Amino acid sequence: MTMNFKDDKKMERAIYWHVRLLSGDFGSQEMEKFLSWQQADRENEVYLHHVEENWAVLEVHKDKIHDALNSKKHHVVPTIGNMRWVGVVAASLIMIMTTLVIFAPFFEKHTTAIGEQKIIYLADGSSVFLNTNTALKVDMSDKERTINLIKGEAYFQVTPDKHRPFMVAVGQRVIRVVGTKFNIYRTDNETTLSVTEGIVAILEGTDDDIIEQQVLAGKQIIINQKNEIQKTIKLNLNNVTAWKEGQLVYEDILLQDFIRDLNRYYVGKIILQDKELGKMRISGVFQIGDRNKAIKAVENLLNLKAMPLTSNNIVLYNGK
Amino acid sequence: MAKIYNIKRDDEVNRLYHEVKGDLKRFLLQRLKNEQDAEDVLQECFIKFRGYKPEENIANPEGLLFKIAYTLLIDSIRKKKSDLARESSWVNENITYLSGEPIMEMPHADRTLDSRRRIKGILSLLQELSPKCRHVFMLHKFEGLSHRQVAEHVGISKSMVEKYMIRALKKINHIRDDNR
Repeated sequence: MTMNFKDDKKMERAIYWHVRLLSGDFGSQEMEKFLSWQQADRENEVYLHHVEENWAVLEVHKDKIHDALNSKKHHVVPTIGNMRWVGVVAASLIMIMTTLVIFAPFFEKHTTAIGEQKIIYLADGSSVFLNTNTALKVDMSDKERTINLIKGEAYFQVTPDKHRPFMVAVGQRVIRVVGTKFNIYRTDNETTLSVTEGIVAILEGTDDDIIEQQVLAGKQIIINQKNEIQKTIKLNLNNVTAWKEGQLVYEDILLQDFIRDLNRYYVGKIILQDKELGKMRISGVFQIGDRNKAIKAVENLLNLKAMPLTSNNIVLYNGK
Repeated sequence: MAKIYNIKRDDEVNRLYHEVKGDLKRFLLQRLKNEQDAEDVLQECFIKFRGYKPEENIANPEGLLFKIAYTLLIDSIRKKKSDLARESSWVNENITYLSGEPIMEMPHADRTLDSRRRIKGILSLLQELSPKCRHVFMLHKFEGLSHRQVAEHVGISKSMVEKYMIRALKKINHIRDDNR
């Protein structure tokens, strides 16, 4: 069915309600007005649905649009102004980022679906192992090898090449690699870099003073949303990269973190009925392909019960 | 009205929820037109609501509940639509509907091109917006900030955030904006 949305007034009204509903201060009184608007004309709902569909399409292509607009923004509005979240990144880094994220003609894009893993071999002998729900762009030029990790997790084995630095862009950060093995995991909130062999350098600094911060083998760092680097913690290398062997290994971690991690691998989600339950701790080795077994184990270890909610979703609640 | 709720305690969450539950259900029913679907979304809404960080005082829990419910409602309608399309014909097995247009779920050269064109279209529309308007839009839509957070972040009023959001959506939905 195609419909022409010719009535600008109706569209405007639908947009208004869409924005109001998402505003975070929509209330019961306003709802009465909204419901009577919706009932007044059959077409109102069709217009609203159209607005919602376009909203959802943006969601589907979120990464691409976000990246493209971000790179564009650096071009058009170079003054930092109120874009605090951009952080103080060297102009030269912005240039690198821009070349990474803009729709360059020669990049290849590789993705995995939820639950899928795959290895890609690059022309220089390097390899990248993609974990579930991951997207990255590869751009191999004569001067530089660049990878932009858009989302998800990947394990890199980089072949040394003095004349062609290997750069990985994650959000606002650029990582320079000589010849090493390392794992990067990117979520909406933070990026975790774990180095299993060699040295990885993180570029940072201001216009005239670029510093490289080195991360040595066996170390892990986290880059948060504000683009700050947080030093961490001891690293059990085998646990971090166990996913490559189809395993998930956890040592005394919070249940909420365990579930967040497990949920990456399946279309349906596990949800905690009570957030407090997330504070329990769990250890264990689980096979990625067998969610039911993992859920059973959680039920037994922590005395919880699992209940299917909608289609693939499962709620965990206190079973006592 | 500037009452700050502390949703740390379960009974308080429950009380709040039951206060708004009736309204939420009417809101959902009018679109979903099916008791069971409305109940499902309601249940999911409750779980999501409880998932909000307990240490955060939520200034307007009712508004938050409506926002969660509306987001879930959009998902639910979309999902139902694509399920229906799938059942209706075996040919449609790998097709999802976006904006009423069938989109193949399996990558296909033409489809990839089509999606690229679509993104290009959206991008060029977004780039016609003023930098500030685009910034507000991106913070809300892509960085996931709430209207209030965007307002604080950019240093404008909440109603101004709404005006910018409306302006951006008009652009995306191809309406001329006389207020520019």
